[in-house]
Amino acid sequence: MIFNQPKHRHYDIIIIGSGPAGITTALELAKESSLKIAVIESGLLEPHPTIQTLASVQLHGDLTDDYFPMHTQRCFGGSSTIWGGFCAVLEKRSFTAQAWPIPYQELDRWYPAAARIIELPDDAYRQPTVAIEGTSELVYKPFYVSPPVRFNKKFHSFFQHHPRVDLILGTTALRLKTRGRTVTAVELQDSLAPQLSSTFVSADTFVLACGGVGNPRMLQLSDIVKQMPVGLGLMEHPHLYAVADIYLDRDRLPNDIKEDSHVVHALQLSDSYCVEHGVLSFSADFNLRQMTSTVLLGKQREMLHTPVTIRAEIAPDFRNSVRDSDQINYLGVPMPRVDFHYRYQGLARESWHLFGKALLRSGLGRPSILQPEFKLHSGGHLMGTTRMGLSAADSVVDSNCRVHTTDNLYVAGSSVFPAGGASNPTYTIVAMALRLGAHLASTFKGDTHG
Amino acid sequence: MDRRTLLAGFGAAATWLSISGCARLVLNGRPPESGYIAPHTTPLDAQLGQLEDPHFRDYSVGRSINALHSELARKGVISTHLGINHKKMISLARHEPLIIYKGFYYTQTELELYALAYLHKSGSSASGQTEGTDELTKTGAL
Repeated sequence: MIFNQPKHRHYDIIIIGSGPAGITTALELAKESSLKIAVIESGLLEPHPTIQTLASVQLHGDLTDDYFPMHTQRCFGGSSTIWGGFCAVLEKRSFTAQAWPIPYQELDRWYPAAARIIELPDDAYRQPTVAIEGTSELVYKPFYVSPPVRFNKKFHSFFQHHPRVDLILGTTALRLKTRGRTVTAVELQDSLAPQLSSTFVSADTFVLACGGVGNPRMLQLSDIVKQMPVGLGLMEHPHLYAVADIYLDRDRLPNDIKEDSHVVHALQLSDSYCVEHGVLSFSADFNLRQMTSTVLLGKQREMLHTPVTIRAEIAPDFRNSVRDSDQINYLGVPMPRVDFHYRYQGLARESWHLFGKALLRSGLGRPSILQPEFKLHSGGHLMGTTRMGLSAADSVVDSNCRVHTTDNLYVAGSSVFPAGGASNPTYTIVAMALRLGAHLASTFKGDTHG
Repeated sequence: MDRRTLLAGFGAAATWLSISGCARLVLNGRPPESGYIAPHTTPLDAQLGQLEDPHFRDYSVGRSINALHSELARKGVISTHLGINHKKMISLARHEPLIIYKGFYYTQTELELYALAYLHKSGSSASGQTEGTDELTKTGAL
């Protein structure tokens, strides 16, 4: 059911945030018939300009002024109301390199169900990469484009009619109330009536699903930080549009690739190459539009000639952070300060050189140099601010996405990514939310059974 | 046609055959990888002809067709009679440093081959004015 204030004073589970992570967690939890669930959303069914200002930040660094609140939508559906739909599985590189504390299979098993939710073809998980004959250094890794699924449209009916799942709109979570290691309640405020008193709603379990800025902010505002790196290590995906050219041997690419508005063709350095050479994931998008005659390794041939757009991984850097600013918003809550610098110019040239060497040496194609001057664009992907890890000393959540210092507080979304790969994150966000939902459901089932 | 004219004609033909035949013998007697590009079409000629591209003129400037030919032959990349060894080119590409030429990456051997192709084409145009022709003249091949 959809409400503008909580229907109950206590829920089994409260999920804060109704973007892809929050909605997907709710969908999975709703399969457990005994659970009473609330999803709290500070926005309304449609974007509201006043509420949207709650997503504003004090910004320092490389992100453009329009980044916030554009990429942190405060409305039902969250960022799914504006996303472009680009999807690819996360690279195995960061799992092999043990940046993630869970085996890749833990994530991989949820990709099929996630593909159904965001309406991707089966190939998105069945054949996420294709080997290229004659080289182990490069793989073909396409990006599949979701319609894109707008979670607010697709799941409106689910929330409207579900008897045990309440969607509570126009209600902002101010902070969490704790007793020892237990979160007992969330303090709520009407998003459009700051003059009204706040209220508290309790739950057995809480899930933060407020995005890469909202999740660490809720922990900071609730004083659930201790020695953990809450808000530290903010990651993005630098995008370099049409920053180089390549010639590609069309015959060496997989046979069945063709121009398709739902597929973005890309080459990547293979996971094994990245691990062996200690480099991060790196994706080079290309198109199939232009054939031209040129020479390659002593042969004259017809080849693809295409501009390349790079989508790259950057390492978590604790200088990139979300923390308190010296400003407050209209609800009287301290606004976040976001410090972010890509620090990617040098790495871009280094990575491109490695990619270029692999491309030419494999005989697959010829790269140009990167443009002498290029601009880094963002992907709108905020990751890593409540990172997953083995201990509170260097991470915020454990392998089940539970905040280390609590017994009943979990985090959903890309803020738990300890490494962001070079793939757009929504597909993995949805897969991870399914995993979290299933974990919580099994926990409750275990409790029920005794 | 009177007898004198006929004999003169035979004489001229014999002289031409003698000269061209000797030239062929002389030319064919050269070691195949010495840097000389034979005037008749070899497999390598045909392949170099396909690779000729004025895009590589700048790389060929100041380079000797003989030296390029010798170097590529030494690497096992070309043979007058067997043409270009593409497997060898791919093999070398795995180990050679990359060179940036006009904004694109090449292996050194590639650029040498394309420069040779450019000079070879220039030489075979027989203008007598191009750098390639100059090189041929220097080696006495013409």
